[in-house]
Amino acid sequence: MIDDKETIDNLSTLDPELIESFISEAKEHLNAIEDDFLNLEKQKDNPDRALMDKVFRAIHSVKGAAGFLDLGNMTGLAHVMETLLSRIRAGEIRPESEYIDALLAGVDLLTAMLDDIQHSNKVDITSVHGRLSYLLDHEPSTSPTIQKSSAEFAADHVKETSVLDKSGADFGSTVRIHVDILDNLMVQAGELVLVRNQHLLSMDDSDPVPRSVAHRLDLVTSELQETIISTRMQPIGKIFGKFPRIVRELGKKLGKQIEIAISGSESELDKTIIESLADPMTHIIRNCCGHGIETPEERVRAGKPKSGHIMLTAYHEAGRVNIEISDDGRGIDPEIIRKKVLEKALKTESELDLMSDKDILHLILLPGVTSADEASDVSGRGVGMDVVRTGIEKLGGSFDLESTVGEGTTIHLRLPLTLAIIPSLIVTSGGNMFAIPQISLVELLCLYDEDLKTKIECTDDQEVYRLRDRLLPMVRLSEVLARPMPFTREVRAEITEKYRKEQEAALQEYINAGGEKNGEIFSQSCNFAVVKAGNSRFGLIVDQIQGTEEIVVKPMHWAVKSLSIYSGATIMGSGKCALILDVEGIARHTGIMLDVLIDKDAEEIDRAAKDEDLQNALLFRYGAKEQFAMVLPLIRRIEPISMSDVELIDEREFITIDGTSTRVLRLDHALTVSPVVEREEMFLILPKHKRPVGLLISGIIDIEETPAQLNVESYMEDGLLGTNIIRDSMTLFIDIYRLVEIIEPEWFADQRMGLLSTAGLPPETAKQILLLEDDSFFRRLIRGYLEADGYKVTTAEDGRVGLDRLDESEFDLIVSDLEMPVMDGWDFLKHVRQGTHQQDIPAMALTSLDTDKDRKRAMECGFDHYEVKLDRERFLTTVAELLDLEKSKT
Amino acid sequence: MQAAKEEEAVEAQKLQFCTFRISGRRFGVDILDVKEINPEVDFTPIFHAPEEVKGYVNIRGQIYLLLDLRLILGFESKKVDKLSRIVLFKPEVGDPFGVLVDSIDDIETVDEDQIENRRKEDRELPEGVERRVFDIGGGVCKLEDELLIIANSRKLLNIISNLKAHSQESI
Repeated sequence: MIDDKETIDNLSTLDPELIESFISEAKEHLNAIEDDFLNLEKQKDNPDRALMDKVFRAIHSVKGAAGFLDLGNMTGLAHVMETLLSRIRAGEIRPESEYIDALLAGVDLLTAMLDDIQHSNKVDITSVHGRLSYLLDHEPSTSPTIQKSSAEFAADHVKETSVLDKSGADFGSTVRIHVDILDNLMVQAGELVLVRNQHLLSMDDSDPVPRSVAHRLDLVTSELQETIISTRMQPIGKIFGKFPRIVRELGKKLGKQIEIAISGSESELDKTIIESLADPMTHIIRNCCGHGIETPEERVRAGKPKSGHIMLTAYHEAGRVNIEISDDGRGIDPEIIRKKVLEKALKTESELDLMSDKDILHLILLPGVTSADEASDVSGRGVGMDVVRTGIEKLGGSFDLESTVGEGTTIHLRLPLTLAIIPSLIVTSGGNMFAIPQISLVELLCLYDEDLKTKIECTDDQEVYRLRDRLLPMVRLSEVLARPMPFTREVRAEITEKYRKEQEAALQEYINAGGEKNGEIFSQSCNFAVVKAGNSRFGLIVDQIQGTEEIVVKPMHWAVKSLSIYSGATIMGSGKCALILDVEGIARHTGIMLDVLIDKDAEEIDRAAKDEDLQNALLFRYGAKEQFAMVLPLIRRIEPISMSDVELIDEREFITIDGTSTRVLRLDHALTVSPVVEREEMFLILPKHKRPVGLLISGIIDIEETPAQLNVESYMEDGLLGTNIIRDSMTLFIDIYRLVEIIEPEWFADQRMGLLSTAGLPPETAKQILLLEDDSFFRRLIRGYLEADGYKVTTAEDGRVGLDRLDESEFDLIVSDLEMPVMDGWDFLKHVRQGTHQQDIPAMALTSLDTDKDRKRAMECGFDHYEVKLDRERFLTTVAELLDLEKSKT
Repeated sequence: MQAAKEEEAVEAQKLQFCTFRISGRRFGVDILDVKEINPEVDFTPIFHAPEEVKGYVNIRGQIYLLLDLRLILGFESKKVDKLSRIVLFKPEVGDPFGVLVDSIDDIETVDEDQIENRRKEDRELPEGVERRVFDIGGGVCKLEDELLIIANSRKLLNIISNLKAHSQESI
């Protein structure tokens, strides 16, 4: 077992947020399954399959993530629990109380270790672990005498009872309430406030009796509202708490002495706000450490104390929460910002001359502007502040920045206490307010004067706007509202003609009035929102744009539910109702969806955007120039190594990790990239690969969420999955399986090529493969491998979808994952084999489960082959073999 | 025979109606269906809805659909004024809704057998009203000096959805 010190080191090299999210996720899993265990126990004769799967998956995820973080103790415990569960699931063991007891003890212990993850490897797990292994090794028995025989674990039972007692006491002071109920309470309280206000206004002050009643109503209402709001509140300390750690680590990394002082941690904010505030705040703190605070030498030279200070203060003021982050660092020099802005041509010199220093400081919020001379690991790419501002503004907050050169920088955030349900854009048409959900909003445009004439053009029945070389159909909200019947071509033509004439008349009037000669400006404006409906976009012209507001959505009354242009109604702050527009409904109503006007480009882009899943990737450095990334599902863990431990054997480098000689791979041996920046302390990425290999890297940058879709066009090399722009620089995504093949070709016999009958054939004769995989990353990866070998691939994310696909078209081979939601791989194949359509199709299980039990079960369900994720070469060979076999059969 | 007997049995039953005026005439709805009378007449129009639908109105955080009873009964629509009120119905009558009336009047208690569920015989009703009273499940009751026309509040919403179906057919 790895000793404790090592764990801490290892953890601190990883992003603390990653660890946080691991803890919270694992806790969620563990909390949820406690009840499930108890239910399983109740239905011991006939355990619910879905429940069993859920429990199994939960423990499996905890194990996987703990393994990645190298938490040996947790992995070990979760592993033995998983094994026990898999046997219960297989029906070999009935979920008797003694098993459930042991499993619950395991859950308790895992939860306890999560609470103090730094020392989790120090926790003594032997008794629970032993108890579970004991149960695994001994024949299951239903007699209660066995339970007594495990008296050696009596101590644990005692511990459990104490845990139970404690949780029993907790029930008294807390109640779980659904957020919906809280929201509803909140709405009612809001209304009560309105009533109170009206009452206070209309009251006759001279009569003392109603006056005192009104006064009490006033007090009670305010208190009620505050109490209800407080139900959703959480202390801001939840996010502040992790900053001392971040500051300490960054300080160490940057060679700076930084101290952080926090006050006002107890200030409370709405749950949703707290959750979305974590990222922007972290960015700001990183900036303070990266740019703000100087090195100790610089500080001493400037006559400041050696260590820098960051002050973090939160306080309530006027119904909002204020957060101030100030440092006593070097401050931001407006001159540097000026220079950068000019360099990037974001503003012209004359524009800058008109701006005050404070305005110029605010330019730092523009994307691409940074005060640092050089980007570093910590900050300086100029993305951060922009992200921070958008993040804060999304929450309905505001952002302010003050800085004095040489004295420091203060950032001031003001945030609302609560959030309503959906953010919407409020527009008016004919004096009525309407809400457009932000989710269907792309951008807002305002056309003035000349642009009105030149940029809005007319086809015979449609106004269109040329937006960045794309034609955007235009819809006038006032016309939509005035016409209850769906638009016909004639109606559209009529509207187009009306506005064309109006425009001409207005222009004529202006010319007639001699406006041009008098130097008057032909002044008119037109506001419109670019909205997206399904695959198409269109511009919605409105009278006025009022701004964004968070609104509580209420459904339409059933008597008017069939009206397609609305999706609901809401109550505005003024107490007036407003209708929420259904953009798709408007598109249908006006008939623009049916038109060919939708240009292909937009459709493509939208489809790509819809497909765009996100994945977490580890960013790292190898050589001096490039930034690399590897997606997390491919990584088993990361190991810090010393270069002096690397041994050179026959020109190959090896290092011993966990008692195994591990081949050290260097990226520049397979790819045309700059050679490694070699230091004594390096890292080794241990991928999920069957062979003991490790990828040598010089430094970890961060973990970043990136789109799963990679760019393969602009730069591509064998051994890469593709590229993507992350944090403003091009990032190469490593295909570790291919890389191992390139560096160690002899590991892979060239058996596949002979079988590749499909390669080089025209696409219509290409073999059709149905791929079932719930993990979007693996789905892409495997699909890519198959397509590279010339197969046509159709994907499905679970068994249910798989069956649908199978009904739709013919396939030559099924490749299926086993663990999937909705319908798993075993059930899926059973359905296929028992079906009447393509029931003989060859099928291959591709899974991370690697036990004989799973193997056997898969074969029983009718899989022809069983492959463990993921040896690219073997997988493709097997695919070729299976298809070849099929060919020779027919 | 049977019916006559039943009528006798309930002879003594009194019913209370919440009455209001539209175009000078007196109308009423079962008081047990009424949630409240509200002077709030600031409504938000719902474009595309049948004209009988005035719009949405916010009553203490609850959105009610507001119907124009004048149009439903076949009168011309009229601007809201100081006397205009909305009669809001209880949730059991249907999704939250209310009707806009010209002014509110007293509560009227009548014997059930005073109510005549006749349609054609009553020549005293104006043209349009006659046409619609049957639709709203109404009955008529002779008071001392005038007629009280009774509407079944549960049928009002159906009229709206029927109207809609009609307008869609005509497309």
